[in-house]
Amino acid sequence: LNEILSVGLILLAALVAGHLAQLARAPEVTGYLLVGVAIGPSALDLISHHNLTTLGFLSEVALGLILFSIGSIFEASHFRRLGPGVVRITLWEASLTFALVFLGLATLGLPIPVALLLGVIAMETAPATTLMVLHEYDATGPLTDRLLALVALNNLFVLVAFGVVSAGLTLVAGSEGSWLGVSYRALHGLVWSIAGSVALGVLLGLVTDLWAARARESGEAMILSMGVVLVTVGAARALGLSPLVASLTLGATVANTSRHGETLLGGLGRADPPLYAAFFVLAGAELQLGSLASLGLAGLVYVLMRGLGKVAGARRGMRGQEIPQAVRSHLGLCLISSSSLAVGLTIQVRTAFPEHAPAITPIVLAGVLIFEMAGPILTRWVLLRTGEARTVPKPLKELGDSAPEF
Amino acid sequence: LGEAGATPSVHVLLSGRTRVRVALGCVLVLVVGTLLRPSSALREPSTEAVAPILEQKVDRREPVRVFRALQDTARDALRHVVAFEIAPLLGAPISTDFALLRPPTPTTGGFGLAVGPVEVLTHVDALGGELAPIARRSDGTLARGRVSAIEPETGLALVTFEPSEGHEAPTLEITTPAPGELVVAAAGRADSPWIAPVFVTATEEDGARLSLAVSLRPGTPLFVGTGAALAVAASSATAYAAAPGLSRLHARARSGGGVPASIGVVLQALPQALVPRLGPGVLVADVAPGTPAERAGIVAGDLITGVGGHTVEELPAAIARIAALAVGRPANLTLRSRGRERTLGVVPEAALLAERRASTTGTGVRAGEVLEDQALLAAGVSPEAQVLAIEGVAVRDADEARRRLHRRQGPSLVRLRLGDERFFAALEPLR
Repeated sequence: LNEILSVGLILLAALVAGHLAQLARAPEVTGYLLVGVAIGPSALDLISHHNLTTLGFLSEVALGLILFSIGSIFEASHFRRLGPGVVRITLWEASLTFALVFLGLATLGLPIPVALLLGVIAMETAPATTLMVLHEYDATGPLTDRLLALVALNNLFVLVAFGVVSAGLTLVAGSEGSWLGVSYRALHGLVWSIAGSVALGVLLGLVTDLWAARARESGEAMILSMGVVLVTVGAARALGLSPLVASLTLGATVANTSRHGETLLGGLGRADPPLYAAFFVLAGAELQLGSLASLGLAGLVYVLMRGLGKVAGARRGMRGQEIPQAVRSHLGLCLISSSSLAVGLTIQVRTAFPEHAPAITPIVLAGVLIFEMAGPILTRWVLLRTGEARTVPKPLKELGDSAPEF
Repeated sequence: LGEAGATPSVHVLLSGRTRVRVALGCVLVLVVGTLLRPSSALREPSTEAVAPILEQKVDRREPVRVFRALQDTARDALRHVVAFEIAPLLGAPISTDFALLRPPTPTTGGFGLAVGPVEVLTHVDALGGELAPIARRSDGTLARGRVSAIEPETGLALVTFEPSEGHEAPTLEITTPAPGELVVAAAGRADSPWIAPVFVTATEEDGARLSLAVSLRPGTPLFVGTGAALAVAASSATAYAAAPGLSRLHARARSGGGVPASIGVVLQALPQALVPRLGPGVLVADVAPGTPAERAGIVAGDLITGVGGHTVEELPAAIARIAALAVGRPANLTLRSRGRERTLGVVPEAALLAERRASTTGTGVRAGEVLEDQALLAAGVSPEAQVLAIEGVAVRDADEARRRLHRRQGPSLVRLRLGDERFFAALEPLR
């Protein structure tokens, strides 16, 4: 299929799948992902590997926009209220997940570097799926407030941890070149991907505000936001920075420094549903059903330990904080989903440590498949359970409403 | 989705001067960071250069010859191709002991190939980070390489492996195809046991044309008929050919209209021993049913001497000339059979359409019963092969076959079958 046809197909399939998912009492995201699996190379192959490669930019743009809007979480007054607690939860859930996965896999006899890398990758929580589910159910409340901040912090933490671990592994294994050169390269990569990305996001955020006052119409605001996010993601790629951190910082900068932050962030609301639908269908198409077959014992341990680490870590992190009981018992389940960042890190492993990639890739891919499916469903369940879901779509009723009544 | 985030209430409204300072600070960080980037930091292979090629699973024997892989992996299949397909074309043995890089992951596959005593040409399938290529030596040990050059446009990297701790570095002898030389390449897919032919119809000073009938995975190596390892596919949709030492032979997949043509014949070089009597020309080893060649009346054993007005005497030239014919447009083919020249019109099809398996029927007599093993060995024929026909006349039993071979002074053109492959050989009893 050519690219235009496949994008069209993706959107229409997403539409149908979203409705079917609501009928099945599952979040729309799950429908998008499942239809992606169905039309992707794993199953029907309507969207081929080639299509996925050329449409990859759509996913990157969508992810940039998602992180841009999540960045507003770091708006100062809001973050001052939630920040310290949320940081503690993040440290606990991420570290415990890392520790459990690492120990579990090392006990199984996997090489230490493989167990370390898998431990870091296991820490990741998917921002996009989480945001989509919260949005679908119009969620508000103490859990929702914390969840987005948790996801944003989690991703930052994972990137730093991955940088530290891979720098460490490079130093330990580094045989080629002088020790100084190797460590310089390792450290530069770490510092640059964080500091450089933050600098890029802040810079572009400030530049955005220069024009924001003129963008009164929501149409103009939308063009500005969209353009600036694209420039951020593109520039980050060109400079070898992290598009994720840069978009997040951009969102945070705009929310904090601009009088027009709300307009800019809100301006995106109307433009992106098709983009997000495409993003999740493509993400589904990239899931590899075959990977489940090769899950094996190590994969099983990975999945169990990651689940356990997330739930128990979040609970431990909330200890001593003033958080409603309902949130306390369920927050960890909302951190289960896992997606693009995990895959992205795996690609980096493939480049940086090709000798470990064969052991890591199948486990991560199978894990992403499982968590990406389970995550949104769990989040939906928690939202209903804690009463934070304000609007629960009732597709059957909707269908009935659409009958002419006048 | 903006409203799902927190609603900003109090803004940190920096003064104009502070903003300028912060912005300048950010610019400084970016500039310094960029300047301090280590030189070997990898850039992504550019995707703009990626041209679409046919997305087809190829499982074929046409028209280079039977690139039938016997092993499970492309790695073994490549050895097979080099040893049994390319070496006979060259008429000289070449080393099959080349170094292949370990596939980076089970899902992407990928190989590099040795281009010199200690150098491996490989692709950079990188999104960032440090490249640490690993090569497996013939003794099974691993060697870690150093990237000595990267060609940013194609993402091809030259990796040097230093010999270490009593291990020798991987070696491969190679030759570079000369400009204007016609070469034929074979490509193996990492995920498939099949080897498919790739045509390099002409090489130029700094560019070669490649027409591909297969989709190549990153890292797929290409071999040329001159015995050189020519290139590695650098991205999933484009094949880049690079001459050893990265003197860049650009070979890009031609998109649209660039489908190689086929008439449905399996070609074979005429055994050298028969050239004085029958030659020069290229032997039709087999004709696939339902193809243009069959419709035009070409039969196995015919010698092709001209394609589209050009004289062809060598196998690579014949393959390239046929592949370069225009699909759907009648072309003349000059043939010689039983000493008579004739010219036929054929309408070539796209190679993938003409792609049909030749029938594998035909039983004969076990070659081992007809001739001594040494005589068979001299002609490169397995004793297990079936003798189907001698000089165009079908064989009924072993005694008759032996008599007919002994009757002729010098070698006879014998049609054989081994597995599902039919071919010719020049057989001669020991005198």
